Amino acid sequence: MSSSPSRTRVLVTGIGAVTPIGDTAQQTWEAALAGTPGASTLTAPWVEEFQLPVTFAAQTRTPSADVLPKHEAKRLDPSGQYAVVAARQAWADAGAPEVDPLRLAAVVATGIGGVHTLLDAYDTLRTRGPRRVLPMTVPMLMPNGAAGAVSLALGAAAGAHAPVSACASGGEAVAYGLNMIRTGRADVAVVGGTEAAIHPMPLASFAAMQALSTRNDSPETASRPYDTTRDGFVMGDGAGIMVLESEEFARARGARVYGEVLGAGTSSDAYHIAAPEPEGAGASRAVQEALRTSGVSASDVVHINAHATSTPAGDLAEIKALRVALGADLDHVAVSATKSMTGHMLGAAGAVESIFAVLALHHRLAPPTINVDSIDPGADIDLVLKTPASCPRASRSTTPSASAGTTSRWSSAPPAERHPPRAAGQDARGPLHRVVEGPSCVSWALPPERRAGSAGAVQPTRFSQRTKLPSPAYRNGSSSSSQARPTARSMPSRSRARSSPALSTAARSRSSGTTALPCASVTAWKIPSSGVWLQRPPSTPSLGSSVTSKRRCAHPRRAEVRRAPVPGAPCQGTSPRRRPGDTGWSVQSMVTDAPTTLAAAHSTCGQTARGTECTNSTPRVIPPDISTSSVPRRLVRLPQRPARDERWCGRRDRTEQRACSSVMMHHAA
Amino acid sequence: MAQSEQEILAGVAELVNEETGLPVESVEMDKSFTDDLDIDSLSMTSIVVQAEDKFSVTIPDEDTKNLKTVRDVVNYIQQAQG
Repeated sequence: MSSSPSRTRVLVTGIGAVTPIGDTAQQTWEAALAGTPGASTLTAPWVEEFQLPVTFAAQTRTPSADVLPKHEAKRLDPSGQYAVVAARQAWADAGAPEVDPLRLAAVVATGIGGVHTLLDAYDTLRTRGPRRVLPMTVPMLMPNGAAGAVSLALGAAAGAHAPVSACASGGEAVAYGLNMIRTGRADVAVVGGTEAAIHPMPLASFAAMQALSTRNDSPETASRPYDTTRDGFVMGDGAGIMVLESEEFARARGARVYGEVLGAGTSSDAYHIAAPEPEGAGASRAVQEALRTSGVSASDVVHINAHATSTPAGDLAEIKALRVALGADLDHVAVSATKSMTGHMLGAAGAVESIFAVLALHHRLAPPTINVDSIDPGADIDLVLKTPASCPRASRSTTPSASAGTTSRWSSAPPAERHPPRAAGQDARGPLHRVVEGPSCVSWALPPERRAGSAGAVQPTRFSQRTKLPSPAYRNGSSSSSQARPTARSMPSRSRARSSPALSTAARSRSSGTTALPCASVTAWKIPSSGVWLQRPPSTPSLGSSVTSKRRCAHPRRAEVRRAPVPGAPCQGTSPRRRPGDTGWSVQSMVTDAPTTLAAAHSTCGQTARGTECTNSTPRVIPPDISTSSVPRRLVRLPQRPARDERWCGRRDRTEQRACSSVMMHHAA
Repeated sequence: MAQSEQEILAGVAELVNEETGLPVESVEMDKSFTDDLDIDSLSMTSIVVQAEDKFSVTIPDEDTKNLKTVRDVVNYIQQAQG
């Protein structure tokens, strides 16, 4: 990570997911808020055949092979299938951007790769000979198979990459996409992770490591991060994909924005291939790096989606890492451990949890952590239990994942609200209410020129002047990862009483020899505004925009417009990339309860002296605002006073032990 | 067990459909796999291997390269079965 990173803002404009608790990102989010357990007893015949010590896992609810066309599913490993399904969801959610294939990248991580394909093909080789091994076997099993499949599905020709770093893979993919955009390699990057490793061999291997929970009689309660009785993680399948794009590109096309990626940090323990460094050294460096590259301080973080795999040693090492990275500020961070519901999706975990982090900022809700009956005394954190916690202020949140070490950081608080007194949360109401009711948070997240008229409802702003297209050339910053590391804060004394069991068990817990996956990642994100659309002027209130462009409609576009459940965009299939900066943007709050499209969308093109010119009324799909439609009102209504269980939504970190990456995000409200 | 030309054609069309997603009715006797149906060599290899299982025949690699059209495949299978 550069010591002076380009200030190109990178925005999240689309999300998609296939997880054990939902077939889409929205379903997953709703299920997470409801505290839905994703694990169940495996019914495959191989469970009985191999007498596996672990007989349950968190499988996706609908096999992707049932979603994809048969011929397509046949050429993809399940991990590739999940990735393609999630990528198409994200692509459609972003409005199927019209982008030059050479400016569109795919970064899809995995922890294990096509293990189903590999082992099935080996069985075929042994039983039927080499002629029966299908020619697509290697393209299906290779770790970059999913990235390649997504690249083909969307027509991404700027690069197809597959970071592989165990549990940090998904977070690293976000970081990789962030860097691709900031260094000018792409305008849009489809990033995320996928995993399909619920197969007897990986199950047997993880069980041999004693990394898996063996609660065969109660799968739904087996994943219990930070609980004193946790006994290992629960394997999970699925994928999470996000569409990232540069601010210029998002502005030019009038994209809707979930948040902004602020920065990322990665590290490795160089300690043990599977066990975490007991003090969380690697993970803490990833978090610190994410903070540093994001340009924010620990006190800015309000929520953390912890890596928290539910292993005895790993969870505590993560807490230590967070404590080192955030110091006393950790006391005021609401921590969610969503693996209690999704299980550990390995290479997809960092991506899915990044989506949780973005949505938590977007909706001001921290997902609950289920199955925690008594918090480990070593987990001196403000864990969100049972029910979602309201996030009073726009703020940053961090999502460290602990294996390969990625940390994501998200932010959504106006500068003036970044440092409110937090000792007892008594000041939450002010900023909290402002977030919901007023524009102060909005102005904070937006560029200065859009802060005008901050009182009352957000006013759309028209930008009449065109800005020049930024050069696509590399905008390199020098690499100096060792500079300017934040100073680790001293461990704070516990400032508030906990209801957890006696501290005397802490030492025992910390000395547990159970191994955890080497993962840690934190990513920082910056969300410009909750429910804010970036629109091209002249704008049409609420939905879409009517634009006269001078885009030439002659360049064939490879992205699969037809597959996206989006009404035909102007010049679809023949449009060139939009030129970032062609027009300005405006901001308005999104008020919609259901997916909506502009029925009167149209596009007309004609020949002029300057080539083909088109007049478009752009249709736009507005996904339902989850916070106002599907989620019960009581979950999003701000508390009259932050209660014990309705904590601040601040940082969200997920941390694993080995490789760590961290992404910081920002939610501009 | 020899099958009729039409039965073999239907079977081949089914394999092509499963492998590529092309509609069954587009697989006609005089269509070229590469020029008309735009089937790449990887898919062609898969189709031939699966045809061996489906029709209980053996199609050596050295013969595969001569199978340019749907008719070539159908005739080859018919002769092999015969």
